[in-house]
Amino acid sequence: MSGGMRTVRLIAGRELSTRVKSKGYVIMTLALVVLIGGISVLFKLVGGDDPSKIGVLDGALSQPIAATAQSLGEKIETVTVGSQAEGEKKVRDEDLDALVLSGPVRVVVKKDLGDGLRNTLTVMVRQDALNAELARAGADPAAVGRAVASTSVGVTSLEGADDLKDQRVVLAMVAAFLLYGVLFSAGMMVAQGVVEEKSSRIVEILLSAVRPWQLMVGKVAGIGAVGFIQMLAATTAGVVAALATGVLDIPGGELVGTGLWGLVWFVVGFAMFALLFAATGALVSRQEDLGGVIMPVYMLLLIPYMLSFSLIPADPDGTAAKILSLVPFFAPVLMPVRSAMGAPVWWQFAGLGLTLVTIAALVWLAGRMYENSVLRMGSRIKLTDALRSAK
Amino acid sequence: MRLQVRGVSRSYGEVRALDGLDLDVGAGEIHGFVGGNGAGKTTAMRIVLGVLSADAGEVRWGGVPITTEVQRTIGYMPEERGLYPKMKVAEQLVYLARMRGLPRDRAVASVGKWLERLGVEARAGDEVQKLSLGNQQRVQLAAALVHDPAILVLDEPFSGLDPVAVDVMSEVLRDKAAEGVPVLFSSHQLDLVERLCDRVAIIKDGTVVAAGPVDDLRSGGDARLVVRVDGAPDDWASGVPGVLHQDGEALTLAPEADDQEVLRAALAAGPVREFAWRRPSLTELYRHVVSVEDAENAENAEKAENAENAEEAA
Repeated sequence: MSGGMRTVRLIAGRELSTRVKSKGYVIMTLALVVLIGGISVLFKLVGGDDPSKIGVLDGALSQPIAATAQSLGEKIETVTVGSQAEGEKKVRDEDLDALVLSGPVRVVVKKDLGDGLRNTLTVMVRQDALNAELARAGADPAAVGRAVASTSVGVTSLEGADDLKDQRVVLAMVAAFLLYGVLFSAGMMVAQGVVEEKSSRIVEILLSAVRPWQLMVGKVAGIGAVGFIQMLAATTAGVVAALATGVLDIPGGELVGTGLWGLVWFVVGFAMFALLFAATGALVSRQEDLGGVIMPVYMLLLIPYMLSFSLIPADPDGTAAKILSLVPFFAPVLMPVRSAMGAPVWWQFAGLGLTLVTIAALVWLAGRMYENSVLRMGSRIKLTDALRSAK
Repeated sequence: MRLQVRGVSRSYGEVRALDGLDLDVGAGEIHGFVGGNGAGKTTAMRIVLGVLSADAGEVRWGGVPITTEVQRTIGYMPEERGLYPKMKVAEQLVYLARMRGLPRDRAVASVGKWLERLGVEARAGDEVQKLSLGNQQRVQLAAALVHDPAILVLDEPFSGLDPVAVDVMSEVLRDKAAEGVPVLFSSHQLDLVERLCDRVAIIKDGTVVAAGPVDDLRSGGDARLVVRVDGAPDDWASGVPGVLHQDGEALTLAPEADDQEVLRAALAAGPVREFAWRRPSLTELYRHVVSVEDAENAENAEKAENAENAEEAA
C-alpha cells in the first residue's frame, strides 16, 4: 500500500508542478489576489473614511466645526491658515478640501462642496442662528442644547438588530464568488486533464503502470493543491486587506473565521466536485465533447452560487436557506455564505458531515465510472455503460 | 523466465474476442504475433499487461500466475501511441520510469542512456509535440524501455517507422532478447516478423491457429516446385505423374511424387532455366491459414473488430 501511496504522490506531484508553472495559472492567481484584496482598498478610497481637511482663518471656528462634525458622524480635520490667499492656494493645490471664512460663514472650494462638508457647515450655521434667536428670547442656548441632545426615540427590536448586515452580505458574496470561481476552474482542470490523457492516448501507458484509482486520486489531489494555493492566496489577501484598511466593522476574529471556513469548504467541496468532474470527463475522448457532459455537474455548482446572492442574503435564517445549505452539492458554496452572515457554527459541522458521506459514496461511484470509461475511445460513453459493474 | 498465456477467454458483451488463447514466449525469445484486425491481438496484450481482465484462463510468469507487481514493470508500447504532448521529452520519460518504481537518480541515468541510444538526446528538453512523428516514435519506444523491463510487449512497434528507425527498433529488440528478456510483438509487416522472430503465433477469431518456430511453420506448409522452361507450352506439366496443380511456373506435387521425373518431363519440353523447391513465405502461410473458412467467418470477424474498438476495456 505504501507503494500505492508513493505512486499517488508522484502523480499528484506532476499535476502540481506542471500546473503552477503555467502562465495562465500565475496570472489568474495574481488577478484574484488583486481583486479580492482590492475590494477593501476600493471601499477605503470611495468610502470617504479619510477625514476632509479644511482650512480656517479664524481659529475659533475649529471647535464648533469639530463638534458638529462629530455629532453628524463626519470626520473633519481643521487647520488654521495665515491668510485668505494662502488658503485659496492650498485649496487650488488640493492640500485642503475647503477654506472656511468667517464673518458670515463662507466656503471657498476648488470646484464644488462635498455633501458631508456641506451638511456639517450648514448644520453649524443653522445652530448658530438658532442659538442667537434663543439668546434673544431669553433662553440659555447651552441648556436647550443639552435638553435636545438627551432626547432620543426608543427602539424595540423584535429579532435583534444587525448593524453589520450590509457588510456581512458583501463578505458572503465575496466568499461565494471565490468558492464558485476556484471550484469551477480547478474542477475544469480535472476534467480537461482526464480528457487530455484520453485524447493523447497516454492513458493506456499510464494504466499499464498504475491502477485507475491511483491515477484518478493523484490527479484530484494534485489539482486540489493547485486550487488550494489559489484559494489561500486570495483569502489571505482579502482578510489582510480588510484588517489593514479597517473598512469592515465586523470583528477581526469573525472575519478570519469566515476565511478559514471558506478554505475548509474548498477542500471538501473540491474533493466532491473533482470526483464528479473526473468521472464525467472520462466519458468523452475529445476536449470538444467535454462541454456537453460537464453541463449537469456545472449546474450543481452554478445553482448554489446564484442562490448565494439571491435567496440567502435576503433571508439568511429562513427555512429555505437552512435546508438548501445542507444539500451536499450546495453546501460548499452556501455554508460559507451562511457563516459570513453569522449562522451558528454547528450548521457548518452538520453540512460537513453530510458532505463527507457524499464524498465516500462518490469515491465508489466516480471510481467505477472512471475505470469503466477511461480506456474506451471514440464516441461519448453512455452513463449506464459507465456505471455497470466492471468485469 | 517464460511468459505463458493459458486458455485465456474474453468477451465484450455478445462478442467473443478471445477464445481459449495460448501463447508461449521463452526467455530471450522474440515472439511474433500476427493476425487480422479484430483477431484479438490487442485484447490479448492488454490482458498480459493487466490493463484488462480475462473472463477465463491465466497469464503465467516463470510457471506461476503473474502478479500485479510484475505486470507493472512490463515494457509496453500500445498500438495507439500516446505521450503528454506538452511535457518535455526527458521530464516525461523520467516520470514514466518513476511510475514503474525506479528511483529518480536511476530514472534520470536510464533516460539519458536510451535517448542517446535512440538518437534523440538533442531533443531531451523539447516538448513532445514539437518533435517529428518519427522522433515521437523513438521517444515512445524509450518509454517502454527506460525502466529496464523484464518483459517486453509491443503492439505494432514497427507501424509508422521510417526504414532507419525500423533497423534501430530491430536491433533494440534483438539486444533485449539477448539479455534474456521475452519479447512479444504484433505486426502486420510479415516480412519483418519472418526476419526477426524466433517463433510466431497466428491468431484468428481469438484463438491461435498456428504457432511455432518460423522455419518449422514454413516447412510444414505445402512446398512448391518452381520450374522455368523456355518455350514450353503453358500446360507442359499437365500429364506428368504426381503433379496436382500448376500455377504458372509453380507446381504443387503429391507427397509421393518423384521430382526427378518432373525434371525429365521439363527437359523434354524445353531448356530448363530454373528448377527449385520453394517453401512458402510467412505471408503465404498466413494467407493460407487465415483464409480457411474465411468466407463464412467474414461477418463474425467484422463484428468482433467493431466490438473491440467500441468496447475497449469495458
